[in-house]
Amino acid sequence: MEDGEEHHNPKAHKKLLMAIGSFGNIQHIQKSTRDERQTLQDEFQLGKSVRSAESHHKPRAVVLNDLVQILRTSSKHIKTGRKLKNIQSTKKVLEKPLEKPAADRIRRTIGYEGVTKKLGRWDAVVAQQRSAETQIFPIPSETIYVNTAAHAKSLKTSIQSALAKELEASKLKLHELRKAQIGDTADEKALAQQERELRQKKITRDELFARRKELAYLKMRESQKSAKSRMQNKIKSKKFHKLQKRQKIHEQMKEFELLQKTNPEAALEKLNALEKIRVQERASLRHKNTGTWAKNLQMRAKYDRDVRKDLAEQLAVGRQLTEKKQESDSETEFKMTQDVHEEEDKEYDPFNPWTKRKEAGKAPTEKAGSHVSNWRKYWTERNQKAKFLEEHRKDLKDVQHVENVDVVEEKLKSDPKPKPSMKKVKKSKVSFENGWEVEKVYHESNVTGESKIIDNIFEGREEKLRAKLTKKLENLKLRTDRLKKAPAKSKKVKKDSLKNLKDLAIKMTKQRVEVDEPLYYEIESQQQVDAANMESDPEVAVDSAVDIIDLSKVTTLVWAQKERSSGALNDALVNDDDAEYDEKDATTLHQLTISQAFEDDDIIADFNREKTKDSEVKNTELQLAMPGWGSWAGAGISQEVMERRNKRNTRLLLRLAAPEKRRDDNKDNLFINETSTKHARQHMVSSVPFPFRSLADYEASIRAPIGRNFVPETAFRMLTRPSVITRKGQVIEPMDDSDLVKPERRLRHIVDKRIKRLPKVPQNSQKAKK
Amino acid sequence: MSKAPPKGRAKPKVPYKRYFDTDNAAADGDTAGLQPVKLKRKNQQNFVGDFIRMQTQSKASKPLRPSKVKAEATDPAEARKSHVPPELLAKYSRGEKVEARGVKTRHFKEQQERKEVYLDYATEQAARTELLLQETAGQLGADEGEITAEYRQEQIAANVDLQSASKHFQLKLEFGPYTMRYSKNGRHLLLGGRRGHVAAFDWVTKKLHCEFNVMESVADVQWLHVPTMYAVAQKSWVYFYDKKGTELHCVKRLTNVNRLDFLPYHFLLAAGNSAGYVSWLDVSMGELVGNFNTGLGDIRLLRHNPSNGVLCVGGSRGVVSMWSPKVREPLAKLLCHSTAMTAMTVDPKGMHLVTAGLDRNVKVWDIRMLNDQPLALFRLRLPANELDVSQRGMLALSQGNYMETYTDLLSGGGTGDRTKLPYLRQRCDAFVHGLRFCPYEDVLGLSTAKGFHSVLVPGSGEPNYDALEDNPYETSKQRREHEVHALLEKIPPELITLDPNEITGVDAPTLQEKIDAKRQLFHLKPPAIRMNSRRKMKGRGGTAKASRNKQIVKDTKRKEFIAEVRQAKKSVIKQHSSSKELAGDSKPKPPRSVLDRFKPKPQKNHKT
Repeated sequence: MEDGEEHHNPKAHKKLLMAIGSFGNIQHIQKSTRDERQTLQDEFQLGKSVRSAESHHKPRAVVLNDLVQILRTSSKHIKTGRKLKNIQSTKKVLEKPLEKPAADRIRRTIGYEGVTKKLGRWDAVVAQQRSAETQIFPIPSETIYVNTAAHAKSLKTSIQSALAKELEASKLKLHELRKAQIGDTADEKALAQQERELRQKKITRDELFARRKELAYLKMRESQKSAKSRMQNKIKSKKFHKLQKRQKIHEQMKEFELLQKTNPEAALEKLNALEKIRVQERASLRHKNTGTWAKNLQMRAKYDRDVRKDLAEQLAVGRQLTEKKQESDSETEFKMTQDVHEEEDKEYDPFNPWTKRKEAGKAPTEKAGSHVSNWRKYWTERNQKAKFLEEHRKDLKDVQHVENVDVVEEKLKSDPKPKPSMKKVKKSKVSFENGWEVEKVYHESNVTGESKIIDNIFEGREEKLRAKLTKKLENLKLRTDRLKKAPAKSKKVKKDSLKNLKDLAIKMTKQRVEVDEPLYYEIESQQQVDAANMESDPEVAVDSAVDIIDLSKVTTLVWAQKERSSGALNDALVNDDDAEYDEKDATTLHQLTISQAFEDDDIIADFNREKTKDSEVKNTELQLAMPGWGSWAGAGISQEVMERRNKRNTRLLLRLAAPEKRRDDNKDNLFINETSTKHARQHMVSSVPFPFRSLADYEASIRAPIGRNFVPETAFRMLTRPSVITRKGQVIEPMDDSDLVKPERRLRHIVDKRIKRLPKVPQNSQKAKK
Repeated sequence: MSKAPPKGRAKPKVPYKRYFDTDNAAADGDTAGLQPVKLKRKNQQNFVGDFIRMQTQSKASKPLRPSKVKAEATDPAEARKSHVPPELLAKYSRGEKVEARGVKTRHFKEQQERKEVYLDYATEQAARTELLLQETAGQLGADEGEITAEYRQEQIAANVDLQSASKHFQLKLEFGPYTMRYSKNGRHLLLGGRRGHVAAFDWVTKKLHCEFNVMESVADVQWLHVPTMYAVAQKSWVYFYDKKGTELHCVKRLTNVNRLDFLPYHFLLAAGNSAGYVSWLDVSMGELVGNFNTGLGDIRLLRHNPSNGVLCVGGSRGVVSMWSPKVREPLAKLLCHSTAMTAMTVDPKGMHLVTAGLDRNVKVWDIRMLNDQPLALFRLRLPANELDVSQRGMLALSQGNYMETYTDLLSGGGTGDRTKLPYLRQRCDAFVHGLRFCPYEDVLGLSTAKGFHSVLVPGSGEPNYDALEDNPYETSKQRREHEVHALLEKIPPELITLDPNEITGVDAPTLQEKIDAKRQLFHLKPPAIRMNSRRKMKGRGGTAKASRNKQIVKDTKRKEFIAEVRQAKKSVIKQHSSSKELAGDSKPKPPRSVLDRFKPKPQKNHKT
């Protein structure tokens, strides 16, 4: 036993104690101790935090402060430690996310608000449609004519920048190139300048004549040439054309040889051009199977299978060659390089020092000449050049279309007077002074004409807008980023920047659609009107009172048939009267006497008696006394006495009606039955129907008939107009957002116009009245 | 470089304004001349672009200011259109507008206001149609020293156009005293001789439709709703014939009929017989809608009031009583003469009732207001035995075989002077038995004992007729269509009341009804309660329990009812007794003063 005591193991004991102590707070899962690095934290290793009670003898969890303390030890990390601490103090821990139902509730309310706002936009439309007199479906939209040409002007610049300028530039380049080809190295600008100067100078008479002569000659030549070419074109002989072609080629070859000697570069260019022409000719399907070999083959193909095969092969080859090739990547690369090369070749750069050399050499001489120049010299030079140019152009087969522009230009150039050119300029609606500019305008107009498709215009606008928007957004982003980067410097600065942000916000467009129409109108003004009416009323009333009184209605007009003896005027009637009185026969006389005898006998009395009898209201009195009341003394009291007594006793006799005033009360000779209209009453309403407050209003509301027989046809049609008009066979589309901003239907009928002009009844009128 | 105006003609100072001139043109009158009509706007004229559908103006409404809006209401186009003189508007006006205050909700207020706009428009349109009323009514005017009454028919006929002259004619017929009727459009004439002669003809063209003898005495004749059918009151029954004289029907329930009348809008043939019965026969259904004894004895005078359809019956006691088919008592009674009546008529507008009695008076009554005093009183030398009023308000009366007309119902007289002589007079060859103005013609028909006279009375008929209502020149197709329309618009007979607008009112109980209801309260018995108890499942309370429950329910119900009635009775008693007390001590008692005790005490009755 002692051994056992001696074997007291303090370690084990402590463990035991701890186990006992920790009985209260059961923690079956032990807090894991980390012994090696773990990438994943197992959830079972997360135990409860250590109780404060036990913390004093247990190593507590590491907190940030510890880390900071450690960092403080070395001066190297002091800063970092401070930063860490700072972060812990300033940064808040994010709140726990809301529980799902609560979050849902919030989301729902927000959603509801959004939807109500969205639908609220329609309120005015709905109200209007509900109260509208007529609704026409499908909703008519008015066609509005917009002169898009009027808008084209403003848009033109934007398009020109993209397309026209490029074209222009290329055109210019081409022009330069061509000039270079022929070796014309005259500076355009200088020429223009020269011309202008010359124009400013006075022209002598002889010069003028000469110039005009020259012009005429040129014109004649041109027309001759054109006529000739036209004639030649008309010739149907194939042989002739073949010969001509051959001749042309010969000429070209000659020229080429000549060029090779004088201007090798130009010659090279020309060679290329010639080659190109040949290729184009060959590539066109004109010469397919037209060679002698092919023809022979075709002849034989009818009988020989192999030959047929050969021919097919040949055709296939031709097809293959002419097919558009799908470029593979490697090919494109190759092509690119080639293209570049070609471009270099093509683009004759006037600023290129290699090509410039010769020009530079020539230019000074030109300039030197220009100084001394007079008109005659200038024009001879010009014309020479033009001639060369033209010849060259003819030679070049690819320039098939005659550049009439150039001709025009030439004409303009040759024109001594500036006025006609001005006129032309005016026609084209662009004010330029020079002929060169005119050409430009031509191109421009052409370009715009081609690209003036409205969609494009709109697209362009949209794109612009989008670009603007994106730009702004980017700016915004940049600013916000900057703001974020610069943390709280000072509050003022922050505010300012925020303000700027607000300013940056996309500005509201001016044409904001106001959906909610004002349904109210000033009540004051109405009151004023009322007051005015009140003022005017009394007069009217007085007038009407005067009007109402009519003598004939107050008194009976008595008129007597004239007797024969009375009055001289009756003399005219004498003859007739004589005859008449003879006719007064016995029967009438008899009747008369009878009537006179019975006059006023009892007819009036009878009538009055009947009237009182008919007009008395029956059963107006009600005896409340029960049988036996007051007869305690026994039988024998006479009925009369009883009745009298009862009558006197007002308590027991109930008079149910105070006699009401009758229509015929003060009219002796009249009886009106007031209880008679039982059948008609079935058709009447039993009480004042709903929207009306009084009987007078109700009666007024149905005072006017609307039938065809009572109102004119036009009014009848309006009165019985259906509230919803639909067109047959037309689909009624539901309204969309565009209906919110649509202008109101133009009203044609006067009634509609008047209705529209009616002041809206204020919504709270009822409350105001109360 | 404006051209100088031609010298020959002076330029008018104010250029005549034409319908196509705009206000601007008038404004710059100096330029004068008519400017070409602008067809399109400038930007539309040289229009190159495409048509796009788009909105120009946004929906943003202008600020509404009612006062200003009203000022703007007089837009020139509208003003030009609607310059209808106010008195014309007043003529066609249907009465006071509904005030917005009297309508309950905003929605209905707006609706009512809009309706008023429509009605205004209808009135305006109607007033504008005055423009079409080109025919004006005129009368004969006498020269200096002449009076119209001395003009003879021959003179008048000689001085009017041929067509009108042909309307003056005379028929000499043999079959006794005649009665006559014009059709509603005034084109056809129906004659019925006492001795059986019935003739129908188009009196304008003198084309005879039919003529026959019914071989019975004929009391009266009457056209029905179309001039192809008519009714003849024969000796015992009423027969119906068509235009050709074919007997269509015989109504044996209408016996011994003296007088016939026809209510065109109700399709009712009214008949008064010698036994004092009035009957209304619905000719569209062939049903007697009313048939009862008036208690007036032999009915000799019977006319309907065209404005409300009430049948006026003149009696031998000088009383005109008015009857409706569904009411067995007279709607009104008017004591017109203190002697027996000889003639009676109602003017075509239904405004005046004209009666003549044996007292040699002709009285004009306001039939709408129903005053007990006549508007006008004509004292004659002899009692008038026939009366009629034309559409233009001319009065014709006959005394024996002598006929006189007066231009105005109220003022009488033919010439403008104060002596009030008759307008025209005519002496016939025999006693005048029937007298009717022809509608839409200046003609008066006189049927006498010996034939028929058609007399020209210039200015008697309405010159402007509504062809949809009565068309004198209607074709058979139009007639058929009109018949159908009329049938569709037939007014039920129970709506015949004194005030035709009564139907627009609200049904309020009469005094008698109120009293009866109150009286009934005192004799009410609790109603028998029948209670069907719910079927119970077996074992859930026996029959004893069920019957007990039933009894309990009945008792409670009865008690409740009795309590209610008692309450009601109390209130009635209180109401009436209090009102009486109030009426009894109308003068309030003077306040008691301190010294009142010294006043002599009222004598007490001695006890016996």
